Amino acid sequence: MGLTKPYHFLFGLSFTVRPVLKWILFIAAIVIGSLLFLVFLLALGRLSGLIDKRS
Amino acid sequence: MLFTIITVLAVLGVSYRLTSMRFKAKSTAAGIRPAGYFPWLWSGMKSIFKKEAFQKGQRIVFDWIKNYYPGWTKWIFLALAASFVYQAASGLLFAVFSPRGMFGVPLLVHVSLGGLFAVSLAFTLIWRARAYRLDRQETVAFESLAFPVFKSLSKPLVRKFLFWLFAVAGLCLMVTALGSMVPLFSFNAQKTMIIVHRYCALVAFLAGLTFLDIAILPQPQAK
Repeated sequence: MGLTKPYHFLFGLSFTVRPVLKWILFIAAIVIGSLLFLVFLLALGRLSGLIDKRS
Repeated sequence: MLFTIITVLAVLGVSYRLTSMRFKAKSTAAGIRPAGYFPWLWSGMKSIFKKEAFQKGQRIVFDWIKNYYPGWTKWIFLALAASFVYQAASGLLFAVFSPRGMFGVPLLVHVSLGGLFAVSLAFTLIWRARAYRLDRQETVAFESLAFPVFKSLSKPLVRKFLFWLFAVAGLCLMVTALGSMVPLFSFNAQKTMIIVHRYCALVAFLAGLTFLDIAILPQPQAK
């Protein structure tokens, strides 16, 4: 196929570490999503006046 | 094809907007009227490839990193920046120029760096979210929002907006990458996720580019 040994190694490795990568992405997405949701709620609270703007 | 047209127009449009604003600011600061926008742009582009300009740019970026990401946290920012630069470059170039899309070693590296991008973005948000929260005055500015919107917004507010826009686009990139890897969706749904992934990458790239111009590179000063 004209593919080198390092390519085969990388290709195989991508299947080996894929479950770990999925967990990393999942946890990072939960953390970032929670933070963004919190920021959205805080901004909404301030705009609606539910959260004191002086704080 | 549609993505290629949108990408080329968006990148050219944002680049023109940023450079023309810089050109106007430079003309005002210098107090003279330069030859014109395009000669100025051409001389600027030529100087980018000179060793001194590269070293100066490197110094500006590293000083900014030292100010905002002290100590070991600089490695988190550098990991985020390096992984994003590679992913944006490889992803957008293959999406625009290769009808086959990304494949081979560039794809393997692109996917591997996705993990580094996700972790470093999560840490960056935890570390820097406080610095980019809305202040009291800024909330008031939103309440009395006047049109045209962008003329009524201050530079710090635009900086904050870009930071959060990058975070939203980053989250979207992660979710669509993850969605196309897990066996939960149909093939058509996964194909749609790849399309959404590309558009999110474009938004993140433009937000990053504008943030670099507004927040990191120094504005022209009066001599």
